[in-house]
Amino acid sequence: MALNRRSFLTFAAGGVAGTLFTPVIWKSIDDSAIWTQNWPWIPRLEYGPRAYAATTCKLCPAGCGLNIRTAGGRPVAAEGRTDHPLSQGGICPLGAAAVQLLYAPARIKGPMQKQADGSHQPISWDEAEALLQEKLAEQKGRKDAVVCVSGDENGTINELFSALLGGLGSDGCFLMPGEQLVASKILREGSIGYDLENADFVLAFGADMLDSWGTAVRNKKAYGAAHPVGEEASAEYVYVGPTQNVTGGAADQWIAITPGMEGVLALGIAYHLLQGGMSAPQAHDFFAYRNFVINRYTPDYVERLTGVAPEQVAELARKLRTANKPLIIPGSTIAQGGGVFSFAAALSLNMLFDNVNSVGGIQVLPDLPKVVEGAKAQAQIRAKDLVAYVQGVADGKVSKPGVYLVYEANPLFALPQPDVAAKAFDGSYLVSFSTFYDETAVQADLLLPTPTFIERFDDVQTPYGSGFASYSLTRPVIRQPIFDTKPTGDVLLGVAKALDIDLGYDSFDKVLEAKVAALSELEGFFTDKVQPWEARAGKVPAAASGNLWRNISRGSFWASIQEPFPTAMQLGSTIISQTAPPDAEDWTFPVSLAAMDSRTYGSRHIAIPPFCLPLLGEQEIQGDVFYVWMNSATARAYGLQAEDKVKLAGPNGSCLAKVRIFEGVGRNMVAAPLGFGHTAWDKFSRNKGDNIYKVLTVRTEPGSNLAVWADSRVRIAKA
Amino acid sequence: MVLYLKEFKIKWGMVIDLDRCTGCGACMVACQAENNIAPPVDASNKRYSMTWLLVYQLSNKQPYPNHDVAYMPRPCLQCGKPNCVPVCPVIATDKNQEGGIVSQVNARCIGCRYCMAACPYHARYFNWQDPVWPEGMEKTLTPDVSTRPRGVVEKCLFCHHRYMYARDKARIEGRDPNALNEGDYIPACVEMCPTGAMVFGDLQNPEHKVHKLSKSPYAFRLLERLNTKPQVYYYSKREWVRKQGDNYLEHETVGGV
Ligand code: SF4
Ligand code: SF4
Ligand code: SF4
Repeated sequence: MALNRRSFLTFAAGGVAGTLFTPVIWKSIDDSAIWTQNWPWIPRLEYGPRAYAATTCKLCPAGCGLNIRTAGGRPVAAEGRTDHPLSQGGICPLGAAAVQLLYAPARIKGPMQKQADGSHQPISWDEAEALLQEKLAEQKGRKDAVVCVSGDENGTINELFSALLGGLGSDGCFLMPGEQLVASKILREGSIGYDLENADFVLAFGADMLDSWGTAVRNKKAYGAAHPVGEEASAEYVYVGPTQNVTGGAADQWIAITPGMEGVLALGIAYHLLQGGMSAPQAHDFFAYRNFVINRYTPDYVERLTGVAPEQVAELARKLRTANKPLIIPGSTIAQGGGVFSFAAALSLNMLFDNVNSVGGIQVLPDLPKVVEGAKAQAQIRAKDLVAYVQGVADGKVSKPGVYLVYEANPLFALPQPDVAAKAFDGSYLVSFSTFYDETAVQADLLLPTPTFIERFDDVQTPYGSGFASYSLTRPVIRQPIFDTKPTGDVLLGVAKALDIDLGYDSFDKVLEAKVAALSELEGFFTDKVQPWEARAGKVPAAASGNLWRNISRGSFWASIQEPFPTAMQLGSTIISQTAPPDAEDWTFPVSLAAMDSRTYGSRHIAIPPFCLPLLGEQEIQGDVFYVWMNSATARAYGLQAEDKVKLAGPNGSCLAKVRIFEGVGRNMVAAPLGFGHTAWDKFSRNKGDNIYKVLTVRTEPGSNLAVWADSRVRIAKA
Repeated sequence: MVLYLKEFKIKWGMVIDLDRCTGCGACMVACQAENNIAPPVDASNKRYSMTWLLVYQLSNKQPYPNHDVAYMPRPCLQCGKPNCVPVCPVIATDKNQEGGIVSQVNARCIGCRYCMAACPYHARYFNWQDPVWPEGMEKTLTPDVSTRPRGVVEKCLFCHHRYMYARDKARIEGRDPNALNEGDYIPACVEMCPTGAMVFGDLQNPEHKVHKLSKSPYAFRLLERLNTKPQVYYYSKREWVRKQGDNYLEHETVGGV
């Protein structure tokens, strides 16, 4: 009997009613099912002993601890590590998809060189490194002729880049934009941390702390611990931001605000606190601050700019005052492109509560010791403004570098106004150290793929947002990288040597070993018994001892709560008054654009991973069209309905999308997700939606001269 | 008849706190990896996409600024009186083993999809397409869960293989496999949730957290009035969330406080 699957189904369905009770049919159904289902494309499972390898995630800057589950030595799944303070057993969707990314079709399989026709052809590592050396040698001694763009906020690799560049005569080591850049304008040494676990009232301005901001999984753990299932909450979370994003939706209260006006609201709250007699005598500029706030940030003014009702502002001030340990978190909704004003204004509230270096407050965290001779201090690297630089080059105000080195970053996609970046990059020799074939790699002259974090040694130093200084390592879970890749640290050391620049090490592993050895300069401890927040609250940990490298390379997490230096705090009255936002409406671009970020959409340098696609809702993407969100009143005002095609146009670019009516978006605003619209990568991420970075518009913040774009504006019209 | 209405000494179940779930979807990705579900190229057509666990977004439908959202992760609810079981002509699905998990034997499923039509929760998925793993990605398949071909219905099984492992472990350690401690058996989605919104355990065992939580006035089950008796409870202090959970009409009142 010839049976294909379809005729078998008809046969079975017809046969069921009459023959259900004869054993013959049962037997043949069973056999046939096995036969029909025995397709060659169903992979057979491979068995093998199960094991776990503890490591650290490098897919976004949050630095979670991951356990890579292996079967017969093959990584099969990523799980959150319970013994790691930044994950505590939890994971984010991007980290959960990490193992499968190893085999994403978008991976670059070996070094490649761009041909005259624009295609990339494989070359050997020897040839590739010789080319890199040749290109760098041409620039040697020419001032600022080599520029590095690093997407790794907290790796020691930046020391190698900066020292190599220094040896070549360049000062151009940049990080992709992030909160740490803004924070560095307030704090010139060390970085800012947030002691979430010990706070009982958390007020986040903009910072999407439960999804895409800072140490996201740790933040969620803290939030979860404060909201135990079936019991009373032990801390209240309030989110101030333009959209009811993940943080806004989960927080105990969401306060909708005009994008970019978070700082105004903060000072509106300060107004009430100051009126109520609060002071900050420890700050030298208290009186200037007081006068400025009381004179300008009156309830009417604040309402006009923020759209938040005066009673609500007063109520927030009251809640803060009655809390035992209030913590105020400044930030931008997309963790980039915010200005100093909002940041400093929100931060100043912490100072009114004398919250600096106190339990449940903000912490000044030390930078870990530098180990590469000739490298710039981390604080100096953090403080460099890539977007302003790129604009300068594009405008011809800054001379174009000869070579760009791009590491784990995708500036031609993920900088605001990517066409400006394209202009700045055009004509220079572009080297990409990316793992994946991203938009920047597509344009690159030379591709030197780095292994994924599952295949290499690397490190994570104090992720931004963490409440304590920390260090952990990433280590190769599989013995051999899957493709012909080479750790970028080793490539840099090799090429430096060939150029007679002495970076002091033979291999990147040695650099990391030196880093670990240098940790003994600080008072650190392993978090196996005492968590950093417990230590902050008074529990005494045992100082880290023994073989640090052995412990840390096997997964131990090193932390320190040491205060780096006595900090003379300023409320920042000068910078706050100089950077205050212009009090004017822009009628050419009448609608505020509230961009949204989420780990579902990948991260700044990773496109939406294959395993995250099912997470996208029907009203996030349909086929290749994505949605932008607005509330029904806004839609009505512009003659739009759900599912209508709409065009968002900014001063420099535009995007096509469909309309999703979502009431969790403020008035006269359109919310749009970042991370869609990839044109490179693979079929899983490519051609899905449009790139909102094209519509984000850079302006210069007066007073700080920082490039900002979190408060962009657009025109919307039916398309 | 009604053989499937067996009572069980152990009833594995979940209580999912909808006030705590942030809708991040880590549980969904964890489930995909744990259960060898092939990555889709286009998941935007939800009728044809495969994911055993789906996080729904609920809205209180109030206009801005009084809008509120909740996220509802929905695995198979492992109903006490499952609608999907009696309709299966080949007994590919059944509720018969200790623990009260509704099983699904893929090799026996003939793809008639009666169970899908019967399940009021859309918890079952039909393999419309060949599951395809990009070259090499099949190496990340776990040895625990067999892959399924086109033409069969799949669903969440509460990571049943983890239950088997936990029982084996108990046996090896000389403990009673029918008296697992809380935490011995945890499905992948529950384990990986960063906010701890999902609590898992034996609903019948007073020692387990879910037992008490399921009796809370804030706990409810989806479409309770259908009397399918799910072993997944939801929990919310917000009345509108509980109301939507059982499709209440405007004028009806709900339980809770
Ligand atoms: S992982 Fe947890 S918080 Fe995230 S969607 Fe699932 S249940 Fe909700
Ligand atoms: S939720 Fe649906 S598939 Fe699961 S047991 Fe109930 S009826 Fe069956
Ligand atoms: S219990 Fe297991 S199979 Fe079911 S949804 Fe959770 S991870 Fe998936």
